[in-house]
Amino acid sequence: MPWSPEEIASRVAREFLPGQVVSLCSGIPSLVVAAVDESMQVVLHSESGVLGVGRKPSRGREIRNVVDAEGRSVGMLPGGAFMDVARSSAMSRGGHVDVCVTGALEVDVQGSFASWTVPGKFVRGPGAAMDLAIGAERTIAAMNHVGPGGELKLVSQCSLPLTAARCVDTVVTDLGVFEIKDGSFRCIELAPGTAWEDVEAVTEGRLVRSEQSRESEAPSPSSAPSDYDDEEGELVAESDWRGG
Amino acid sequence: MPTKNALDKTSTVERAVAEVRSGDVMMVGGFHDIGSPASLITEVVAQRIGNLTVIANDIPSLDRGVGRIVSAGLTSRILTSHIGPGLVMQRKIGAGELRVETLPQGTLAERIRCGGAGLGGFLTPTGLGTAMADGKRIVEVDGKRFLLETPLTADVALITAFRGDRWGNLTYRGTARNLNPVMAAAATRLVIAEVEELYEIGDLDPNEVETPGVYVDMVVEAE
Repeated sequence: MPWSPEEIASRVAREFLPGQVVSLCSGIPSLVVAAVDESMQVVLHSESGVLGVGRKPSRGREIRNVVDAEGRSVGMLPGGAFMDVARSSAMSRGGHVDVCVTGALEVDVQGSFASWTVPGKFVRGPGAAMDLAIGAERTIAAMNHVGPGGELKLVSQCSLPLTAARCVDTVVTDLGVFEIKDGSFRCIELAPGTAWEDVEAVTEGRLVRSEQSRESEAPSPSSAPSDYDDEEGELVAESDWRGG
Repeated sequence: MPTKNALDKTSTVERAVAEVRSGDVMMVGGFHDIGSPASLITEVVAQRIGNLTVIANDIPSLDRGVGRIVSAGLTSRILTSHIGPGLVMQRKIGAGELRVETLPQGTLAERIRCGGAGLGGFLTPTGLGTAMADGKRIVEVDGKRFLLETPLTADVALITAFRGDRWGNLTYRGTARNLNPVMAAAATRLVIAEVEELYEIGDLDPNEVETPGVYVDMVVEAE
């Protein structure tokens, strides 16, 4: 079974190191908040102007005026802070956020990615993704391997207008985990039940199998029930059109 | 009868919005519909002030936040960092019914900040190597390449805050800050602040004030 959006998010969270500041863009990345708890000692940032984002409070216990990049209500972990959007962006661009998790319509073997428009179809705008990708030490793309219309998204060269050039180092999709290295996607992990041939068939860019690559044990999705179950359909489609 | 304090800028939503003119360039605060001046937006729609150039962080949808001004057909041009997925809005953009220019959130915010701070622009790495660099000057500083971005100002800004006093000192809550404090400085003719709670002058702790009243022209209570 390929990973669900929640499982992609859980797998992304396993990339974080204690002490890191991580910014979550909208789409699948926004689900990562459910996979992070206080014990991980990671500080989540959102372009909306907040550090210290925590899991969404239960219905009726929402904190007024605290939302994530999607505009959805989120909670706060101890030690958080608010800021205006000029500072929130400057923080990203200035290199004070360690990791950016973005959605993408396309990622290529050089680490360039596209997330903000499909000319003639959609204009969503880059949001904060350009500032984040420029400033962060690591950019992780969290996305479905194939678009809703069967479009291949892991490509040799992006054909859509870029969000940023040469900055994605890791791609986590429903089919596995891929490092971008030496002009190729280096598969380091396959989702449970996913065959190498399945990945090859839907990856247009150069694909290399790491010697250590193995089938993953299912990453335990967060024990917290998903807040987005009823909107999963929308969310999957969203992730294909939203990067920031 | 004591005359009104010269520092008292309070007004009603209706009278304040009547100062906005058709054809104005108008900044509107809000991130999605959080920290968005809902009463002022409702009144702009009611007074049918049109042909506006709207500058906003994002247009979430046609029925929320600043999107209500867009769906009322009152905008001639929109400058924003992000647009919602709604098909109706996307079709209008595709058909050329909505003129929209998108730019990175940090570039939008900093251009507005420059506009309010008397600066002639700034140099940013954001957008290099993308379509955002088209037609812009590239400046090299110490061997690094940057895009030259120019300041943005507006005729009017509609902003919102948590607490405000009658002079226009403002405090914010949570992510309802967004671009409100930045836009407060960047409108040249009129800044209207919609506050949830109105205080007398002297009743706000100066340590808590994020937007000093010097930037604000009119204060209205949220309806």
